[in-house]
Amino acid sequence: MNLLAALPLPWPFEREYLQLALAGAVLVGATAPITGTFLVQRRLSLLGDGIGHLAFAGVAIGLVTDVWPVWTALLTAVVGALAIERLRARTRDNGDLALALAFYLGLASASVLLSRRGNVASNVQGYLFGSILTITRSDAVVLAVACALVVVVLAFVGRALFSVIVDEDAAMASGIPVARMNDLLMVLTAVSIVTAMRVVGILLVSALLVLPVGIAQRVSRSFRSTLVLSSVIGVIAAVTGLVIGRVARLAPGGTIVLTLGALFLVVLAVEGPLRRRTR
Amino acid sequence: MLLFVETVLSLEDVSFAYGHERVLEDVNVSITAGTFVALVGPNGSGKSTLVKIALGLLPPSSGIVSLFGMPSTDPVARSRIGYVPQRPFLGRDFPATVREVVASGGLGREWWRGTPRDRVDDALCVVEMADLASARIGELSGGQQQRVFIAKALVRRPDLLVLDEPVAGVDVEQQERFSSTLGRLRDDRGVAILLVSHDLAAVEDRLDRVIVLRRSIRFDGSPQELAGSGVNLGTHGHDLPRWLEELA
Repeated sequence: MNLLAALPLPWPFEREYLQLALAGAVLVGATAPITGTFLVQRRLSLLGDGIGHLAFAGVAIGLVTDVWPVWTALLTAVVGALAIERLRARTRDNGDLALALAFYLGLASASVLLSRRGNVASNVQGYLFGSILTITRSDAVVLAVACALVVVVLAFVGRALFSVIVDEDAAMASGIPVARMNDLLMVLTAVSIVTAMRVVGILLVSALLVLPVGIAQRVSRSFRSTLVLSSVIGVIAAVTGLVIGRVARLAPGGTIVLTLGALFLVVLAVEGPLRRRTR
Repeated sequence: MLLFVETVLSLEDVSFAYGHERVLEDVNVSITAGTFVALVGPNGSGKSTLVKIALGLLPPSSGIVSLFGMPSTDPVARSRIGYVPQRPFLGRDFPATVREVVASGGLGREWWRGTPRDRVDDALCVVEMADLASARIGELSGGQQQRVFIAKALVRRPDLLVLDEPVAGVDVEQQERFSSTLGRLRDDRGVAILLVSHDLAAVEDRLDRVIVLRRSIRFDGSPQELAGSGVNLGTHGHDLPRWLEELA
């Protein structure tokens, strides 16, 4: 599996580690906003942050137990996401409480666990702020499989999820398994969070799910075009951020998110004319 | 010659309580195919709870609920219902076209199958919204969105259409369009309609039956019978709202 390294790409992706970073950026940039589109329309924009904090507790478990932290983060994120959904469903009018619990319990657990392990600051920093330049070939394969899984599942259940978003009660009355759909969205969000964690880090992970959608939905008319456009914006921002990061010697994770922030502000400024043109 | 008229919805001795609070007591309702029934009652009288029980979204504390002769949780029975919930409204930023929203109503127990395009077109024609099929849903007025949600319920070609407070906050012109749409559905397609509303002025002339609920059934009969007891259905005289408040 040396396909990426064999590619004769020009500067700034001439080296293998940069090609692997590019692969990670494209994969995550394309898929995270697809999950994010469903979350944003369900008014769960901050859910990614909540699950990210739980994933951080999973990273801590991995570092303490010497298991690859991505696996423990994935397990913790999936279990935590399902627990958040249960709590959210039970306290329908108080869903932010479930998120607050995830924030605090995730950070507190990570803090306690890491206090049992000595010098892990450099490892932890990579997960908190992203470490896209350290993606290995096996990491890239895992990322590709996870991203493909998210896209395939969402392609299959997307219509039903959209129906739940439009009107949950009507969807339930018509026989769509609403609770299972909500659980599935939580699991896919957890997978997206853990894959995006390598690119932008736990603290910024939600931005990659939410900001491309925020931009796309301002200029798209349909749900389908929002899905496609947010994915394209995610890729453009991830690659642009990576290039700027290399040229200006800046942290790529933060640069990717700042690129998205800049795009958002630009679209906000020219929103009116753009909407009229796309109609 | 005897004609068989199907009972689309039947509630027998249905009671329901939230904790210790009794919301419904021994409710008996039967609706047959092709009838237009209004369910009215003061705030907190249990109307929305009754609708949720009828649709199988809430289990009753006691009693029997059946749709088309089957349990209300039966997927086949559910596939014959169209439901327009209370205050359906999608915000200005919601990125979806009218067509996408209507098509989403066509999914049921076989949710992985899409909704045929001709069904969406047909439903949009019924509510006179075909020319706005490609419009962004959030840019429509409340009345237009309401008609989109009716189309969404109709796309499954239901035999029973349940509408929960659909005219709240809608102007008079849209209410009249809404009324004629419901009338056509009953007359042309034989759809049974259960309309939950405080305000029956717009549909007064088309109703077959009025059911008044306040925890239990207080009246069940034709609009003429209700009028005979001195209660005017329209809002103009404010008789119905006043009477409902007196019931409370």
